[in-house]
Amino acid sequence: MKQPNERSLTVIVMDVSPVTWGERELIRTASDKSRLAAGKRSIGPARLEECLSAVQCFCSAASSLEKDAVTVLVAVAASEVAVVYPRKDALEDYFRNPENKLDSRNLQSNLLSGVAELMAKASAKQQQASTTDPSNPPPPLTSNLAAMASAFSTALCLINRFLVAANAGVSALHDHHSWNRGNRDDDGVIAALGGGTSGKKTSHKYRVWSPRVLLLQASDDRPSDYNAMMNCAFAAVKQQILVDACFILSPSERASKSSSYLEQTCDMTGGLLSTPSAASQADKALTEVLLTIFLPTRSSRHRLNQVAITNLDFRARSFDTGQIVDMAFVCNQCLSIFSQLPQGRCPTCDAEIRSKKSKIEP
Amino acid sequence: MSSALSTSAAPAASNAPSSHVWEEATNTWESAVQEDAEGNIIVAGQESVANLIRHRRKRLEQNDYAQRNRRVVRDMIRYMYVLIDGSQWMRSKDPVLPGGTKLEVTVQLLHQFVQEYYDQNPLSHLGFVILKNGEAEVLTKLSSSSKTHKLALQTFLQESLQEGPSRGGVFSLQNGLEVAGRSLGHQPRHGSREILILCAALSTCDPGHILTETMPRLKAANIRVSTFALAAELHICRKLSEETGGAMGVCLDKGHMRDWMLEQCVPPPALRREWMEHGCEMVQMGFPTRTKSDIPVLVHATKDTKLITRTSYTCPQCLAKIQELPADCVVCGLKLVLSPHLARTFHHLFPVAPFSEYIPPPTASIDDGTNKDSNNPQTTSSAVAAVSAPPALAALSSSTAKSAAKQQQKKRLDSKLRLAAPNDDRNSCFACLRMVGIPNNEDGGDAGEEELRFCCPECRNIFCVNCDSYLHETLHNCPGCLLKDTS
Repeated sequence: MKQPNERSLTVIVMDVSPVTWGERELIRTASDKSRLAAGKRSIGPARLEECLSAVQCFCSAASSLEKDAVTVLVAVAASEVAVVYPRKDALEDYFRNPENKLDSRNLQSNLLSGVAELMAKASAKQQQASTTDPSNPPPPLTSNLAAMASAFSTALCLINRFLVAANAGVSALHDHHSWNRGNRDDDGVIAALGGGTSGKKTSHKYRVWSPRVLLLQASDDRPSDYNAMMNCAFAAVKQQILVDACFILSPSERASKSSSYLEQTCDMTGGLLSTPSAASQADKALTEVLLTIFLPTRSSRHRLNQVAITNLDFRARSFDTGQIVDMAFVCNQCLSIFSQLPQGRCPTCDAEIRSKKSKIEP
Repeated sequence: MSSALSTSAAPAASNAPSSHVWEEATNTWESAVQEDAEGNIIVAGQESVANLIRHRRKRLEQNDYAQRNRRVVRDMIRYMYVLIDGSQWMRSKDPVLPGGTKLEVTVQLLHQFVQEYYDQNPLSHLGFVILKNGEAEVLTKLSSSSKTHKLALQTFLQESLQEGPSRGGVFSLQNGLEVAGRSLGHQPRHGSREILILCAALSTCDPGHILTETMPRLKAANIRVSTFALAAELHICRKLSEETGGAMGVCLDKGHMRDWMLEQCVPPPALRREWMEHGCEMVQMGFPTRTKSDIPVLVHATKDTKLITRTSYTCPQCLAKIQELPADCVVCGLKLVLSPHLARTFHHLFPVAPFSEYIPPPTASIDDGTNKDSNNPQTTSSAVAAVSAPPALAALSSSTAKSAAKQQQKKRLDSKLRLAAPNDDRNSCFACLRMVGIPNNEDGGDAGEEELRFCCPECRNIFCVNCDSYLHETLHNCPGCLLKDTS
């Protein structure tokens, strides 16, 4: 239940990679032309402006829902990440006098100028990488994807900063407060008879903030980010941070239909994942999606009927065949998964495989 | 204040290399206790927060038994027994460990240890043994479930509290080692076998000779013994730890105990022995799927108990249903894990490199004239350079210049975006935008933390002190290094 002095802290991570949004713009203008001519409304994927205005609406709705709520916006464009709102000086002032609220009117100007600067920097970097020095190998195709893991880590550090100010986060000098951090595991004993999804009541005894992260991802997952995203998800679980995600689909056939990293993250932390189709992104529909699905805070969610993630596949892919396996052999040093027992040496860490000896009794 | 201390300590230390810490100490009466303007006594000899943090980092680095920031071959699958001293020695209170008798404090810490252990090593097993009245009894056998351990520890604590302070008997090290060692010897070879002893005893009553009987058997079974002493170090414990390749620690204070215990949760580097081949072993594991059925079904919770519930995991080999993972299948014995559990241990294989403290090079363009003239906007850049100069300069300038410089600091954080450019401003933390790099001002104390800046060796970004601990202890990701795409 909502504690009397609980304040929600929301960090919204927006993907504004220029290449991704540029592709969607092209698809959108092409499809709009034909549809307007036929007199129908647009079914195109969202434009960047629509996405940004949806985020603005979400922030003003959140602050009118709860006066003391704090919202922070982080934007990521390909390989650049920056905290767009509030700016450095506003955040310092906020920590000096926590009575002053973060001004939500500044949000629009900061958001637009910050995103513009970030996108300009990202496109400049990409152009520079492609034009200078043809002897360098061309950048991989995945360099256009957003560095969501870096932005997620930045969001978690920001939340940690707020928590430290309230004596609850991870700080450099662990004092005696940290001995008594509420352990969610104790509640689990009583909830053993229930299903797996109930029992999300967390103990907010030692914390005043109710933190959450909302990830808006438009690009596909970066393959090299798997470890980093999992680390971020585990850290969020440890600090009881709710992570929601909205994967903004593109109707082109090459794009993936969902993000498996986001699925696993949301499932682990108890958040919601929504993948609105292209038709439900056009015009103002994205605003509606954000407001109806993501606006309710953690304490009100257990009363609502929500979208559940079904068919979440936790099985692993084996490293040699790439198929999803039920049973496999795992190397005990490098933890790589093989569906067939390798002979001789481990393919990943190149360690010799010890043959099974008889057990030694002490 | 601290700058005055440092200038007076410098000549003393430079005379002869002192081999003891107490020779360098400058905690004399005059410097430790001072009076402020109204005549009230202020204790000025305390370390500033910044120095406290530095000392803690240095201590962690020197005693890094697990080498947690280096890429070494580690044992990911661990079987560990914790031997808790329940004898008379633990029933007394200790001023160094506030909050009850030593036993209470230890059990409280063990709750955290259990949580952290399963967090860092989801594939591993843990068991507890109590040493009491000269005997060793197993409190919980080796298992993967943290709830059983916590419940057992709670009941043990309740019983001991009811018994009173004069019970407990003698401490017997050999019995404990024999019980734990026998049980560990039956475990499969692919995991590392460890024993952790928490003792406050200063003597032990054994049926035989540890060094000639028990120790060779421990070494033959590749069991690693680590000890944490709450009172004083025992030679037998030190010898055991050194011979078997474990760690030995003696309690300094509560924070130190917590740090030491949590360090044992990190998988230790694998031991290399001459008669053991170097190599890995392939362990067969199953990856069950989670099923939610409409009607409640019979599910195995632990080896003995069964529940009726809806959500369960199905073992791929024998199709039995298990309630909670990671576990060994109750029916067929296959190890069952989920891929996030494997992913949880990857951060040991790819740790974040330790950050080094960033000391800005002293800038050449410092003159006292600009310090006083800080309201002039044209001299903003040189005033910024002056503020980031070594603290000795701050001591030289007058107090009005100091407060003007502090005002300058407040204006220093601009409203630009904090991007990952190496030539960008070095005064805000890359991850949380906190202002860092303020030299110690005369208020001392709380502001000292913000003086420290840490720099990542790979991406050369600056981080504040809290982000540094957070990244290394909980998150295991550096946001600056993740910007690059390495796929």
